[in-house]
Amino acid sequence: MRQHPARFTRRHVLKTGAVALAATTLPSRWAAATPHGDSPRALLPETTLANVMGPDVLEAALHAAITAGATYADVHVIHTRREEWQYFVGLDYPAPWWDTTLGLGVRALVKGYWGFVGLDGVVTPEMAAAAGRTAATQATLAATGKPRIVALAPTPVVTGTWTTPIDIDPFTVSLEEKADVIGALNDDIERLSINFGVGTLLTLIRQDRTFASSEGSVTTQTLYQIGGTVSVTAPRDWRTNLSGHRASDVFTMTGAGWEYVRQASVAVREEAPRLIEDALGSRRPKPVDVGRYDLVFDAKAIANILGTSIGVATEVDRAMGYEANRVGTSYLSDPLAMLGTYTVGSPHLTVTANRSMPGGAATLQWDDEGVVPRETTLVEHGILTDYQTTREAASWLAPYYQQIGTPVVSNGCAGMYGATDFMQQHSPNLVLQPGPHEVSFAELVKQTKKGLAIVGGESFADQQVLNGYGSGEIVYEIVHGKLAGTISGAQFVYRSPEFWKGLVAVGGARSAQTFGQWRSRNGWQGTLQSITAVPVLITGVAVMDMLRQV
Amino acid sequence: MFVAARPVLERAQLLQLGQQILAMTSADTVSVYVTHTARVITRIANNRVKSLDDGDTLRIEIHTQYGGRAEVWTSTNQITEGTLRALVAQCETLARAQIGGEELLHKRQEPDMYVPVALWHETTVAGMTAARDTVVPALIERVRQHGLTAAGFVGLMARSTAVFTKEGITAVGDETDSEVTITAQTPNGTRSGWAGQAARDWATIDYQHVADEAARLALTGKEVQAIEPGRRTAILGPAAVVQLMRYFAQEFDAYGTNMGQTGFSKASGGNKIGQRVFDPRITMRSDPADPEGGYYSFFSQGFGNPAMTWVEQGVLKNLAYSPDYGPTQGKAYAENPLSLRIEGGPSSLPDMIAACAEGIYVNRLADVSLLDKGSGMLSGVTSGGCFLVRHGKIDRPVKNFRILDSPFFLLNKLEALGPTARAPFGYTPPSDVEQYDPRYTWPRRPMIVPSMLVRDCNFSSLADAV
Repeated sequence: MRQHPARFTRRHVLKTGAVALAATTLPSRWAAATPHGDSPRALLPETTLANVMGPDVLEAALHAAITAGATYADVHVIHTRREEWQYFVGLDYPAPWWDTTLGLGVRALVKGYWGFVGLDGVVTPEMAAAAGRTAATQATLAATGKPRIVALAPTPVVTGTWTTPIDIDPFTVSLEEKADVIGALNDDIERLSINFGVGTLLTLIRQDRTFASSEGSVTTQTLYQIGGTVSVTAPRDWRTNLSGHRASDVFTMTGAGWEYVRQASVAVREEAPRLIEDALGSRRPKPVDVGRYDLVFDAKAIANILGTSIGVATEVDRAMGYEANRVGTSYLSDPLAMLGTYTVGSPHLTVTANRSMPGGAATLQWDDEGVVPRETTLVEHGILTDYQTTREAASWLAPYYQQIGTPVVSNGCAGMYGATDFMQQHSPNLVLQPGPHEVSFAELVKQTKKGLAIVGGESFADQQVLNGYGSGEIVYEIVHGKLAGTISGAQFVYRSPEFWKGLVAVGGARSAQTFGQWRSRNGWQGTLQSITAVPVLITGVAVMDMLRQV
Repeated sequence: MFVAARPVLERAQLLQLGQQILAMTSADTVSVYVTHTARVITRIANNRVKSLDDGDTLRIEIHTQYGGRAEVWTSTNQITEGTLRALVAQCETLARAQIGGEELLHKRQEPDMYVPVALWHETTVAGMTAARDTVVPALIERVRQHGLTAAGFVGLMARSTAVFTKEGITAVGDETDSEVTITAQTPNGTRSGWAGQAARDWATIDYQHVADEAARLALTGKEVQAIEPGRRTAILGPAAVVQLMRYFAQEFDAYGTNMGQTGFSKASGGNKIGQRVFDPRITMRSDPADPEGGYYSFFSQGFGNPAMTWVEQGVLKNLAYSPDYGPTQGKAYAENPLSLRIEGGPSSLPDMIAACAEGIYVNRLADVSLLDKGSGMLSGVTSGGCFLVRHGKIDRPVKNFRILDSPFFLLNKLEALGPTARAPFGYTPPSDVEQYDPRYTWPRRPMIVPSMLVRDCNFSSLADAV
């Protein structure tokens, strides 16, 4: 926590800091395994993870697990580098936080029971073997209970290497350029309006992942995630003492390289006058009138709700009760009875999942079980048609897949954040499919006689994903098809089935926008997914007053 | 991996590591933090072991600062000499490039304030190797005997933590912790009961009792009925109270309070120290040497962690002044109370039910999120046992509610307080403010809270999730 505002600006850094920065060396996980082991060295592009924890380490873990009785085992070595820049006008030069973690995780399946051991840091073949043995031994001990049949859905043996398609590795970009891009962006937005606060958070992630399974798959991937948030805060209004806040729609988390930040910072500059106008205009709101409304959600608001409702409810492990004491269950609780018949929402609702869209924050070539993720339709014209699955989970749905003539394979939603986090479901990229007609947010507003328009914001759901609530960054009243003033305290409250059945209109393809979302299932670090959505009109939603005090 | 007697780095190893890193540095101020955590976690679902999750996590943070420049930190989980050298070099390069930021503060660090705490229990360490094979099957069997389906969590962990600074501060501590929670579901999936226990000493956990409690809550009464939401008297069990108090550490932050951002801020500016803020029966303390709710006797860069009384008989006594902010205000520093003890009262849970003409008994709250720090407004849903109480008896199970209320209101509408217990947290999804802070992942610092009978709790809507 900084309580001493700085007295200098970024420009000083660029003058005084350049020489020092030029000498920057980066911590190297390879140092230990190279001949010059004990000296710091610059990051060499040709160096690979294999130099430190190579095939011998992976092999040792797998061999030990299988020898100790595992019928299946897989192992991951994951090296994550993460850099975060925060810049708030009024504070000082952005101080990046810099983190590097390396580890190994091995998973063993014995008589239908999973064991897992995760080890931090550089792991030798001997340690890896011990971890593999322990995972199998633990699973064997757990398997004394009722026998359990785990059928892993078949997946082809794969070998290969893949890297997120990027132009520029952000970890090769100089610190000066990073400081300059963030600082200049903030300065430019700040210049647009007096007394505005501008905040930027930039996160750069690079993960090198090696995976090997006892079935023979060996993959190496380098995944990049980059982006963050840019937001403006309007000064307090003299009459209401309220400030206004608006976050960028175009600067978000994505699966890309440094080129994204260069492009997006241009787009944010174009968007900034509108953000400022929105934030200024929101400071004299009318208190909400509690009741039922027709709600027009912009793409960001509905992307949020999609992510916390259908995006979570279609996680099959939740649906099958495997997360009942942890993240929760799902109201889509009987997959085999519901698939193909259950009405999730109105016929306008079609939701697809993929881990392949360009720039998607959850995009990769192989998931953490070595599966090439397939694009799937979770909800088609309102009917539940699939869940997010892993290899084990796909087999739970086998009767359904066989009935509809689809191969029983994983959708590729297995994931672990770091090597020492045990495997669970990873949210794929989600797409709320646009409607056939080119309808925009403004046209949806025009169609609405009396209602509210929800712009941005956040939403939450309960442990069964059945009941949710949320609020907008800014909420407007809609009167006779026009945006009237802003509203304060509006909190929409919904029950998922009714809410999505109230979907009467969706925006067209041109109104689609994509947002990166953090998912915090893994605890504090979280994983990322992209959600593409279009503006929607949903009728008859209950709206409460969250500012009502006793 | 836990064949060794000690699953985490020992004091001598930590000291050696600290000295090794400090010797690599040249900055004006340097702090090194090392945390090594070993965990043995078993997750249960559908009456079976769902997953085993064992391992260790090492975290090394290096903070450096040059005079007049901002502090910079870097972190890693790698312990090799080469990596550490490179990390120090990176950190110092960044720190030299900083401008602005804090002046070099010679903060008072008071190693003599470190009080002896006993957070390490060999019984827990022994449990890490032994408990899984006996406890987990027994838990599942116990729930199954009730005709129910068990989901659950059995976690044990050991951790050692150290802080080293260039000025010569050395603070080393170790701790163990454990938690057992069970969700028992009826076969038709219409009802569930949740129970748990948490303790630093694994030997004190009565896991059979946890299973029985969860089952009892799932089976008490017959059909679940929906009743009207609204303001109602509430009997809140410790697992519900602890969720309401989850965000309270932030409320005691002195800087935020003086800036008008918390429930202890005065509308006219400043804070409410000396004013009555809660019912006179409410007393809140934090003490690193608390036998149930203890924690490390140092924090941050090795500052001594004082025992604090925050609220005494309803009157706000103290706020947490950070080591940066305290000296500027002429105040002694303290850490925001991540661990809190709320004094209890004489009414047992059965007493409260017997004294209640009509109300709702809430066993636990789930998915509680903070809506507004200034008023403490929270939203969460009742789960794992929610009952209508009428005429001094549990009348019937009712559908879950969403609660929209604030501890600042509820603690002023107190009817009765029950005995205290270290409340189990269970799984709580980290909120925005928490998700980058490992202190909020399991295990959280212990919270010791009583059950409470409060009137006019705002059950704002039905949330008919099971």
